[in-house]
Amino acid sequence: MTTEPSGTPPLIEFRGVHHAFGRRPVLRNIDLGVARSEFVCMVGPSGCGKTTMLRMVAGLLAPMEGEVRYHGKKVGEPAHEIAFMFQDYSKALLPWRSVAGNVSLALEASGVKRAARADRIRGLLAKVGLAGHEEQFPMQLSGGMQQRLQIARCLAQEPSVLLMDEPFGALDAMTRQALQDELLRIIRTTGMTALFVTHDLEEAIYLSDRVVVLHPNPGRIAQIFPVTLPKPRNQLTTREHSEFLRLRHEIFNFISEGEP
Amino acid sequence: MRFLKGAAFPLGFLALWEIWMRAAGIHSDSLAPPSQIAVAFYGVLVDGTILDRTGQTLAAALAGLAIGGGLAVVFSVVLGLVPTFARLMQFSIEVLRPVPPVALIPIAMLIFGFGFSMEITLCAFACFWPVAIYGHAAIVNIEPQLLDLSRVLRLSPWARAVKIVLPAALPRYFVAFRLSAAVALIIAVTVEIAINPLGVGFELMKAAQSLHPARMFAMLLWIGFIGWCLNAALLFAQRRLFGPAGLAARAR
Repeated sequence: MTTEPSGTPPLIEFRGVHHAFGRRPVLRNIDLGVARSEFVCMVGPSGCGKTTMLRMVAGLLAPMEGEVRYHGKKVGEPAHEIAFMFQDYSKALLPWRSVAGNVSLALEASGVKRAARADRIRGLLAKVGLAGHEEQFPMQLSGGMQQRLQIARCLAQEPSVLLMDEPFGALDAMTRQALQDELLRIIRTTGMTALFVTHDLEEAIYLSDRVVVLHPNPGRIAQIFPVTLPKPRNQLTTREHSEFLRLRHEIFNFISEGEP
Repeated sequence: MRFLKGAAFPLGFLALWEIWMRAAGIHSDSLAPPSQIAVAFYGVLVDGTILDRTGQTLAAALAGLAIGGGLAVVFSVVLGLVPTFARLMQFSIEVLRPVPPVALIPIAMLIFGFGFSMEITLCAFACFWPVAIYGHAAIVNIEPQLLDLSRVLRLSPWARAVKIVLPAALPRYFVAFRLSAAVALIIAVTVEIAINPLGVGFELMKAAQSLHPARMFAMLLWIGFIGWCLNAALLFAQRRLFGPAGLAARAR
């Protein structure tokens, strides 16, 4: 089942992971390897354990059986080089801190000296297109801008892995596409490895190198689809590409057939 | 316009009261016409009685609020962060909390005698519970995603408390303090009326016992005004202090 690209050992690895909440099994026999600088999307219906898998990589949750490895070592505690982007941006930002203050939190946590923070914050906000909004508060920003702010806070950790839990799910289509491209640009320039959870099949194909389809109850990996579309991706040409359409059909049919 | 509509009833009521008492020629030991109340109010205002007494009552109420509320903040943080302690204390809280603070007047009298200490202690007891209970709820119900965030960022326990937990709970603590301020004032005035020779409550009682209804009503209106001012001042502070965060807390 595991299909990591040949040669290089995986950066993130699930080995025989089982997990249950109470008596309800949520993950069964998960084996998955993610290579360095790879972009992997996980799609599947609610309750298939996508978020649980992300939380395991982040070190927020330990699997009951099996193990999750990062750099060949078992994940125990959260690590600085793994950043987590939460689904509900309105609850993941500190409402009492300004935009700059929210980015600063991650810098403070990494022990960056006060004098060095202002420059870093300015650079990070510019990178995500929030320059000039330093003094505003999260409540005053649109959903898209709040999610940009979360990206900036993640980048402040200088992570090598970015975990994203349906980050664009609540955004309108235009904002979502703009953020997808922004994200791909940032990932390309930093060489980060990305694990991305989404409900949206087209979003998964558009962003990723591999799409992992999960089945629910209990969550298990049903099939992994490699995406060979040319990069950089483009909202028009990529989505009109024959390979994109073929994948969309194939995965869509696969998911539909999987349903009882 | 809205102000005029709001004022129509009380002004009309006062006018009727005045007319009725004058027309019927009532001279009572328990009632006085508004004109005499106004004169009596002017009297206690000019001779400094009202300011002295108000100072005493507010000092006792606010000192009680500060002591009781302050202890309650510490208590609730420990309750919120140490679930075992919360379970241990649950029974004791449920037994102690419903005790009416005024029922403790006799004990407080025996321990402290007349004066500020007794009144402050009772106010502190009354203020402790709302702050402790609201504060505990605020800390327990903190957004779980924020706690996840503090773990992902690897914040130390101290940094987590200071940078995440307390700021997140602060607006609710302030609401608890605002409600407790009203409680403190009620308890202070009650203690003064019942037993303590201090403050506006004592002055009100004195006027009633010396059969001076105009002065009694003047004190009554003044006490109402103090309560209104205290609440308005704290509401104003809440809006100013918490800015956008305060807005967020009230929107929830």
